[in-house]
Amino acid sequence: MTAEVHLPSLAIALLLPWLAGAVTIRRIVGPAPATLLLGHGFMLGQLLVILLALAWNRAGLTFAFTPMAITLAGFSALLALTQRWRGVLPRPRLPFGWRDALWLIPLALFLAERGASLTQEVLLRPLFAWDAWMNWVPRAVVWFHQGALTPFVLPEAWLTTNADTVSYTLGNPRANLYPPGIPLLVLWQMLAAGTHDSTLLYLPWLLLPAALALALWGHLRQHSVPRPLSALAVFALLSQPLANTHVALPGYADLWLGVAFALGAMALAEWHRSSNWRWGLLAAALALCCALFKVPGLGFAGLLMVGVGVLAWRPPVRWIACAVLAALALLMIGLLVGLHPVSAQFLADNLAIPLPEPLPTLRIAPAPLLPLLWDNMFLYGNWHLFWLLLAGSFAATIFTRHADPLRNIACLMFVGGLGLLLAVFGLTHYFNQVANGVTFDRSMLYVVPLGVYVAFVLLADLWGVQQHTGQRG
Amino acid sequence: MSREQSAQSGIADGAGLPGTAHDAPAGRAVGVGALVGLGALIVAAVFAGLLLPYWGTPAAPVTGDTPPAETFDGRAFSPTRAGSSQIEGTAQIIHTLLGNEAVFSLTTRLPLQQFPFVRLELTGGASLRYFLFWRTAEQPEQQFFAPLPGAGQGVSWHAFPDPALWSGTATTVAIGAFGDAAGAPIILRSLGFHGDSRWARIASVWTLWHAGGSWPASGINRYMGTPLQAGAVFPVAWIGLWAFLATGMAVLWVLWRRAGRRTAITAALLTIFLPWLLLDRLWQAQLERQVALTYAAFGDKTQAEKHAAEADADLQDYAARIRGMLATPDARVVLLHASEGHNHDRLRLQFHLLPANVYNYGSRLLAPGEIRRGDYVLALGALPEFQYSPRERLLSDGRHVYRARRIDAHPLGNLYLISGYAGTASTP
Repeated sequence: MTAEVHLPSLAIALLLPWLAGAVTIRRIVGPAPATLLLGHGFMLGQLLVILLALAWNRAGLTFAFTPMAITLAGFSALLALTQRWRGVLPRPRLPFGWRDALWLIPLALFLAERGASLTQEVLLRPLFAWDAWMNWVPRAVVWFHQGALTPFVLPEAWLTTNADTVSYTLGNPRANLYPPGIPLLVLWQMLAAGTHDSTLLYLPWLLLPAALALALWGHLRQHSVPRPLSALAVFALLSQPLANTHVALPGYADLWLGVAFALGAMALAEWHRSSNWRWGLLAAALALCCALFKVPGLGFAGLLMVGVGVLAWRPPVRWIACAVLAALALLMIGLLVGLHPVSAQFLADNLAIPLPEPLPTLRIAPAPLLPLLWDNMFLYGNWHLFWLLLAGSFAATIFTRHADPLRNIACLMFVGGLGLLLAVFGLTHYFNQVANGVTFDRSMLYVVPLGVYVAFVLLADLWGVQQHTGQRG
Repeated sequence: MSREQSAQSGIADGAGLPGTAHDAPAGRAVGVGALVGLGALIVAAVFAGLLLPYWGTPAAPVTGDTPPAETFDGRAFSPTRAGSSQIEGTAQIIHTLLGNEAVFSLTTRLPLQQFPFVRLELTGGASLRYFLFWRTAEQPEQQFFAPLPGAGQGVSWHAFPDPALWSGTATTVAIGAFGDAAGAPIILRSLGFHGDSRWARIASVWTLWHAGGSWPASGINRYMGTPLQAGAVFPVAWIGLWAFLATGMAVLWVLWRRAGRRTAITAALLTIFLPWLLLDRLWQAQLERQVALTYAAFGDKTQAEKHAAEADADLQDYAARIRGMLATPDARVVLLHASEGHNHDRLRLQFHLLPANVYNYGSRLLAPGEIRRGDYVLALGALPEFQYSPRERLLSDGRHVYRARRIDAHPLGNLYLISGYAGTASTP
C-alpha cells in the first residue's frame, strides 16, 4: 500500500501551481504587490490544477504528472512572456526602523512556533480526520489508480450499473455528489508523489493559511492599514484554534472554502478601492473555487457574484441598506421564532422550497439556534476572542459614524456569508447538524477569515488612515 | 470626497473615508492608549478576582480562612499494581507497568466532604490516563473512581464538587495510571486533600485548561478549550469576560476624558489582544502536548510503521489480507455489517480496501441483478442470519441464496466469491 515518495516531483507539484497562479494573477490584474500575487496566486494555482485535470479527463487522456506539469509550466511561461515586466515591477522598498522590531520579532516568533507545531502534525500523523478518509480522499485514491475520473454515484445507481461501466460509491451517500475540487487537489499531489499513501500529500493544507496571511497583509497594506495593525491581523488570523486544527488534521474542505471566499471578498474590496475592474475577474475565479470545493460553496460563490454585480452596477447605497437590513430583520425574526416551539412548528409545517440537485428541498423550520450560536462565538475555544473583536469593531464604527459598514463591499460579503449560515442552520432542518455538534462550528470557518479582514479595515477607517491609490508593501 | 457626497453615490464611491481628523500625535496617542489599556486590564482583573468567591455553589470562603488540608507523601503509598517500583526520597516510583496498568494505593480515614479539592504531584508518560479510586467506610463494597484530567505533568488540582460522589469517610485511596507509558517512569511525589478556597478553585480550573490529550475524533468539528463536563469553566468565557470588562472600562475612560480615537483604539486592542495572547498560549501548550503524543506514536517511522502504530492497525492488516485475495485491485466488493449509519469500522475498512470498488451498505445479501458473478461479499463481524454451506458452496442470508466460495475466514469477517444466484431461501 505504501510506496516511496518522489520528492522532486512533489516539490514541483507544490510550487508550480503557485507560480502559475501568481503569473496568472499578474496577467489578470496587472502590477500588484508581491504579497497579493503570492497570496492570491496560491489559490488561483489550485484552480488551474483543478481545471487542468478536468480538461485532461475530458480529452480522454490518462492522468500522468509529467505531461500535466509540462502543460501547466507551458501555460505559465506563455502568460509570463506576454506580459511586460520591466519598468512596471515596483522596487521592493522595506523602510523598516528599529521600532518595527516591536511587532516584527513577536510576529516572527509566533509564526515560527505555530508553523513548527502544525508542520510536525501534518508530517507525522497518517490521515486521521473522519470526513477526509470517508468523503474526500477516497475519490482521489480511485482516480489515481484508474488514471481517469471514474464516476462516483449514489448507492442506488451503483446497484443498477451495467457490466460495461465502472462506477464507485462511497459509504456516505451524499458525498458521491460532492464537487471534485478537493479530491483533484489531492490527486495532483498523489500523481507527483507516485503514491496515494503519504503524509506529504497534505502539505497544501499547511501552505493555505500562509498564502491567506500574505494576501491579508497585502490587502490591509493596500488599504493603508499601519504595519503593526496588519501584523496583529495576521496573528488574529493564524492563531485561531479551529483553523489551526484544520491544518493539523488535513483533508477537509472547510478551510479551503473559507479562504477562497475571503480572498474573493478581498479582491472585490480591492476593485472597490482601486477602481481596477480586473480584480472583479479574480473575484469571479475565486467564486468558481468556492463552487468546486463544497456544496455550500455554491451559496458563497453566489454571494461573490452578487458582489461583482453590485460593484459593476453601483446601485445607490440606500438600496443596499434596505435590502441588507430587510434580510437581517427577517433573519432575526426567524431566529427569534425558532426560540418559540409552537410558532416554529407552524412554519415548519407550511414552508418548503425545492432546490435544484444536488441540493435537497429546503424546509423552513425555525430552530433554537441563538443559544448555540452564543456558545460557538463566546464560550468555546474555536476562535479565541475574534467575535469580541469583530463586535467591538462594528460597535465602534456604528457609534462614531466615522465609516459606514454598508459602503464596505467586504463587510457586505461577510454579513451576507454569516447571514447565509445562520439562515441555513437556524431556519432549516440543518439545525440537526448544529445540535449534534458536527458541522456548525466548523462552518463558521467559511466567514471567520474574511471577518478578520473586515474587523481590521473598520478599525483602520476609525484610526484615520490616508487612502492611497498606489501600492504598499 | 465628503461624506455627504459619498452618500449620494452609494457603494461605488470607495469604502475607506479619508482620515483627516487626527486627534493627537500618533506616538503620544498610542502611548496613552497603551497605559489606559493596561490599567483597564489590571482593574478588570481585580474586579474579576472580587467576583470569584461568588462563582460556584456554595460560594468560596473569603480571604483569611485557612482551608483544611491533609497531604500524603508518595512513599506513604504502596505500588499495588506495578512491574517494578522503588522509593526515592519522599517519592514512590513505578518504573514498569503491569499489563498497561499502574496503581498506587493508601489506607487512611479521611472525611471527604471536608476536602473537595485534590492536589496531585505526579509525573508520568504523556499518553497515560490517570484516575482516582476510593472506597468509603459507609459503602465498603463500592469502589468509586473519577478521571484526573490534566494529571501526570507535575502538580495538578482536581475538584470534586458532587456530594453524591464525594462523601463519606475514605478508607482506601488509590491513583491509577493506564495506557502505554513508553518507558517513562511514573513518579508520585504527593497527594493532598484540600478544603475549599479561592486558590484551589483557580488552580483546578487552570489544570483543566491544560488537560487536553490526543485529538478526539470530534476535534476537527470544534475546540472547547477544556474537557466538557458538568460546570465546565470555558477559558474563552472567562478570559473573554476579563477582556470585555477591561474594554468597557477603557472605553468609559476614553469617553470621560474625551480622548481621541487612536487612544481609544490602542486601548481597546490591548484589552482584547493581551487576553487573546493568554488564550493562545493555552492553545499552543495544547498543540505542543499533542505534538509530543503524535511524535511518541509516529515519530521516526516509515509510512508502513505509522500505519502499524495506528489505533485501527488490526483493521488495516485485515484489509491488506483481503486486498491480496481479490482478483483485481478494483474488484467489486459488497461489504455487509450489522450496523446502521456511519459505523467507524465498516467505513474505515472501505477506505483501507481502496482501490477496491466497495458497496458499503446494509447487512443482507443484495437482490439478483444487483450483484454479479465475480463479485465478492465481505461479511464483516457477526451476521447471525448468514449461513454458508462449504460442501454445497451456498451462501444464504435467509432471503437469497447464492452459489459462492468462501475464500477467506478470519475472526473479523468472511470473504466470499459469488458465482451465481441459486434462488430464494426456503423457510426453515
